[in-house]
Amino acid sequence: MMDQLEQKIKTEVEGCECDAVLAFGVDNFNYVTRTVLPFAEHYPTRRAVAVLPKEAASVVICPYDWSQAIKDQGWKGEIVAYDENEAVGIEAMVKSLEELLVSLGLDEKRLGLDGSRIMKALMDQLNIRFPRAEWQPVDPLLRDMRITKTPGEIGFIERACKQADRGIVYALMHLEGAAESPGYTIAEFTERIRVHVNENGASGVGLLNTAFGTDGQMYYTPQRGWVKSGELFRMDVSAHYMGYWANLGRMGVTGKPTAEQEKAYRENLRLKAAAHEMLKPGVAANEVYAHVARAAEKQAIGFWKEASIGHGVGASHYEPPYLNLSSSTELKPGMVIALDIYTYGPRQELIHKKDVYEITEEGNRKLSWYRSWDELYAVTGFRATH
Amino acid sequence: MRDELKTKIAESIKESQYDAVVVFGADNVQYVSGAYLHFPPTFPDRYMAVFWAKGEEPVCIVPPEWESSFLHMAWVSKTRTYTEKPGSPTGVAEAVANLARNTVRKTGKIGVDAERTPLNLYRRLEAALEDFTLVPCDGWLRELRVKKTPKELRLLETVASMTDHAIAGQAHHVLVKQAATEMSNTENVRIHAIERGLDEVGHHAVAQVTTGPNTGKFWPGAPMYGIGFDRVPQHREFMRLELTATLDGYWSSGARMLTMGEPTEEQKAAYQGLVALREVALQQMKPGARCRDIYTAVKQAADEKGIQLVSNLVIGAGVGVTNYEPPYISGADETELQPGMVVTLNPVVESPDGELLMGKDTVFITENGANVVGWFKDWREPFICNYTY
Repeated sequence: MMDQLEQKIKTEVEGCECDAVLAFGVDNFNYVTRTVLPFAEHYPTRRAVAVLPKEAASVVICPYDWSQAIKDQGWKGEIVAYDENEAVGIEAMVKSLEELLVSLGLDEKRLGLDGSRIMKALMDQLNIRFPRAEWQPVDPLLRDMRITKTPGEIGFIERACKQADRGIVYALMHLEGAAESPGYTIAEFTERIRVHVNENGASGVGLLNTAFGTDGQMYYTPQRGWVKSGELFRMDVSAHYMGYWANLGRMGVTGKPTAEQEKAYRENLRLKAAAHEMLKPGVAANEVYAHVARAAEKQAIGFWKEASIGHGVGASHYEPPYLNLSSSTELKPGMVIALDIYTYGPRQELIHKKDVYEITEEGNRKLSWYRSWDELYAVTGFRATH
Repeated sequence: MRDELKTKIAESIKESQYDAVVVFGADNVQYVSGAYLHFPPTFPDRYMAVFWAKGEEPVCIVPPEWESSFLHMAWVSKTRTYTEKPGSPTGVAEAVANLARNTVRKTGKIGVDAERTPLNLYRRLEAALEDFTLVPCDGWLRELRVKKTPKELRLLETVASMTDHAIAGQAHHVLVKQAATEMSNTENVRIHAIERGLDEVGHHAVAQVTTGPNTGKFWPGAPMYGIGFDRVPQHREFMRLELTATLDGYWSSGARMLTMGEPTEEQKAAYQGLVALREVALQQMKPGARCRDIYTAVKQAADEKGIQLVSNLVIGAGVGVTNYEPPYISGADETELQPGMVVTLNPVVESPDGELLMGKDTVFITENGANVVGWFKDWREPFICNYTY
């Protein structure tokens, strides 16, 4: 299923002006190797790099304890595990990279890298170690490669969406009947989402946030306190299946929703419908945004203008194209968008219904189709043994 | 902790060579602001920074979407938002430049965490700050962070205790005859972490329970990290229980071994190898000791005793606002230990049967030497689970 992606990456690398492409960013590494590193973003002093030469087999360089994981995910190329007792931090990686590039005869060649991901200090080290190499940023190449997905990639994202949605629903099932008595902590509810996303087959969870009541006025708050009745709440989760991400947001209310809460939610759906009709090939990202802004003005619906109204998902949970006023990227078939419009609840809670869509030749196709979420999820019920 | 750290950082800037510092790394932003947002590292196209000029109040530059969350948790009360064009660092660089022009003399020296700043952002900063001198300040930050304040130490001890308690809490539920799957055990470690009061966050705040042959890998079943599988542990097998957890943005990494029933002689011997290396390390870990020498002593002890220490990895790393930071107990780290440093000690030993045995301990360096904190029980023997109820 992912052979098409492997071939696509190979073709793009062969067609570029560099003798090799090096991917340092965790998201780029994952994309070009089709593997997932264990929480690498959170280990800034440990680095992996994928080296994709034009005329030789690809190699990854990584810490020793990540090497088996890469191999187990089907990486067919060489793996160089560096020794963190020979050099500290990124120097250990650079040392192995030097040996590799020299052995491949690439140390004086033109080498592409992701300039938006490699850190300045690491770049300085590379310039010292490879004084004759010509380093060239290839971020546009990587961006263009990643922004349009293969059918295999879209299939994985669709699975991740279903897993994430089911995880949320399963967690809600635990909350129902237990919110009042014996009571439920917000942390436990959030954890229930994580575990049920995992149980439904996801291979990892990233962002995890539930926000009840006035905490919902913010993008994120620590997961503390108790679930209370009558509160609007938001459930945000990003999760991946084999490295391909869903990024969803769902809304609920503890108890029977009030008329005001229902009205607020419907307003959000109306703006989302306005955006939805613009999700089609040939429309620029900022046109989608402008269309939503006009619809909001016409219908007198307040929305969070400063935030974007969506973004891509793929080998990361937040990537191009970005649906904001400054992005002129034209939507094309194969792009995958997480549509994410924030409006306001009766207590200024942030309301959204974040869904994921594939741009198709005809328009778009919803990938997060498992449940419609066209109404606020009402958490009701009484304590019963079941 | 707010006043203690804020004063420490402000004083340090005052005494430093910098007229201002600007940090972009998520860990550095948290350290200098107190805002423990866990998600920025996974948004590489979005930028956050704290700009702190000498004698001035720090200012956080943040995407509008994150501003209120930041203010909710930070001790930095001033923010600037910028018009975001994700992937383009222009907006954040301009915001830094505006602050610099208002607070720093022309040609003034501005420190940047170059080990955390992407190349394209750094280049944009150089252009926006052409009237100033940009210099890396990673060494300064390292020195600042590597020695913890008394309140940081108290929090780290609390996190370590809760983490060990969470692991031990689940270990007490394990029975040979009624053993549950790895997945169930993994989740129950997380549940015990929440019960103990550790924060519920996503990303790398995970547990992992591996059993039998799966303990032979660091990450069995990749890419399903921290999930566990349907494998049920068998009598006489090892179980490894791991938990990476946080409270108020300070971290602990814990790992403990459990035997499914009374340990065999082979298991006892293998585990004692781990205990012996911990003892060697603790004897060496005192003020003035070089990390490199500690590693060498442990490696030498392993070689002499025939213990299979897993090579290529450090046997310990600092812990604070991240769970892996300087100093490193590595054969290559020249750092001299000092009181106030905190290290997660983690020599990994391979048993004759190929299991990777771990016992992660949080170690404070004090004037008197090493002080292991947070042990729920005496880990000179593994947790031995009961046969049945």
